[in-house]
Amino acid sequence: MSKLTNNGVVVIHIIIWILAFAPSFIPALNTLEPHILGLPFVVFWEIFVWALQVAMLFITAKYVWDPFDNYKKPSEREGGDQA
Amino acid sequence: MSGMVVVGLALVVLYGFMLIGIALWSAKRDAASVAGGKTFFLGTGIGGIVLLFSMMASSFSTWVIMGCPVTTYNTGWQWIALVTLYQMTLTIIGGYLGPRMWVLRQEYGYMTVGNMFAHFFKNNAVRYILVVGTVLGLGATTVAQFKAMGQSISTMTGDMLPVWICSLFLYFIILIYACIGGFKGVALVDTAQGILFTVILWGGLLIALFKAGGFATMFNNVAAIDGGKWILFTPVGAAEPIWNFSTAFSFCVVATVGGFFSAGFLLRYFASTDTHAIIKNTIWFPILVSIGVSTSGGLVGLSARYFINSGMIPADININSIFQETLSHLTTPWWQVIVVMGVLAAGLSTVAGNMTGAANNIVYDFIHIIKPEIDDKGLKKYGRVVLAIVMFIVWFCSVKSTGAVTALVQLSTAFYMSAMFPFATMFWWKRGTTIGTIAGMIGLLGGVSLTTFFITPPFGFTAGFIGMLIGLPLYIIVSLATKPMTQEERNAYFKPLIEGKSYDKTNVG
Repeated sequence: MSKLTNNGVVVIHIIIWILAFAPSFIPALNTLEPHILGLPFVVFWEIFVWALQVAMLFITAKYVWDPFDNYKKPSEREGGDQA
Repeated sequence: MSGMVVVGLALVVLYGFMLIGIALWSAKRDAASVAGGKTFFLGTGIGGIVLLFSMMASSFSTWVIMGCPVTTYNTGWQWIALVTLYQMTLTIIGGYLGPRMWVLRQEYGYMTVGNMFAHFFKNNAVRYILVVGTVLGLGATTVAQFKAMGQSISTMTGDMLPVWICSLFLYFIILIYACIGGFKGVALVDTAQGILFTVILWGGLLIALFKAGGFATMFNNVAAIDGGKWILFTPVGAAEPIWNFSTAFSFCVVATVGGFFSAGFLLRYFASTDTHAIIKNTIWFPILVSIGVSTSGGLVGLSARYFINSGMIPADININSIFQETLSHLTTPWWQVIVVMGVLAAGLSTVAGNMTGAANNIVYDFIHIIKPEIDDKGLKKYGRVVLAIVMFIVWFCSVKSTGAVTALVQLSTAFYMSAMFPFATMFWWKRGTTIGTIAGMIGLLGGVSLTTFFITPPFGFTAGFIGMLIGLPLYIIVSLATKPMTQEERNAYFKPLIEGKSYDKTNVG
């Protein structure tokens, strides 16, 4: 996970988008039957895509997005230029 | 006048005074937040739940109660899936850009995003074009809010009060609380309103599900209508598409890219307490809005199709107010009043946030450049006057506008997209140039305006997508034909980020 980069995150999201739009061009995914827990299959497919995105958010926040903790404000160091 | 109308109007007035009270409390509690122009427009730092809910309330507007259920009613469940997809995607850029923008603001003291671009590009043209795109975008979505809020109160009174009087009253409420509390006060009011409309949306959904007999019953009943087209995705090449593939895809692309760069988001990255607050917010924001707002509002709209089909509510209800019409017919007419409060909560927060942002742009990107001698307190005074004038113009446009709420919100998103080129040059494509960036922005805004006001977008694409198809090649071609910034110049500008990064792999400019 620690090798995951911002570009990698973008690639994963492109794959997620393909999965989200898959019912438009794969008829087998775009079906009312079979029902699972009384709901059409396509509903579960989109919930699965949403869950993937939630997982990616947590992974990206932990391993990819840099909080720039080593940054010191101009007031916290000597000097510093203001625009 | 019925008792319900009297009580409803009294509640609207009380609600307005309550918001003014919150702004007064905020200004008294944190006097520094309204001391001068800088803090008036960006506060003294917001984080945690205030950042989360104020971002949600200012970004997701009356659309969630007025536009969202109507669109789902008209186009089916696929729309909820598409909206969820773009909402979950758009904030990934927040986690990337937000901390970088926060650091650059701390280092260089930026007041607006245009201020940041002018410094980076050493050129004010990018700044001015951005302000035009941003103010047009903020204006379009705010017009929609005034329309929806005025319509909502007017409907509650049985059209006794005209829409324009209702929205004019709200104009004064917003103006007073925004002028008193500044950005910090607006953020606190937004938080209270964000919580309120989320609770109302979920209350509405739970009632609809209870009356329908659960998720499964509702879905299956709606699926049984017209061969399931309200539940299924429209297949590519379908004879009667609800959402054909190109419309659905271009809608998602525009909403994602435009959402990335919405002025409400960008200003809050500047105003955040620290970078960790931004990253936490980036996780919870899309989860909150997808589950808490668009899915709940959308499902109520979808349920209306089932209720009408099964005869539980009349078929001649006003579709444009379907959320309140459905719940009023299912339970008690008092839902009219509850929904009005939800619409106000959603709309007022967006108008206040948008108009404060627009005033900030005009004051710091135009007035402060023309008259640099004005001091911080003077800029605050200018800010209040600009706020009053801009918001009045927008209110006036809302009275004259005939555009649908959802269409206006989509138009605003398309305008926000113009910021994608300067951000791309700063952070993602080093070969991008100042002239290329300007060409891309003008091409995009021109394309959006052309396909919105003069010609119908071809191939079922949205106006924003056509704008992007014009702006993107222009940006690339002109950039390749002109000289980019040297790596040394970039390194000098991005020095705070290079020295401040926590991870070795972090890519900086």
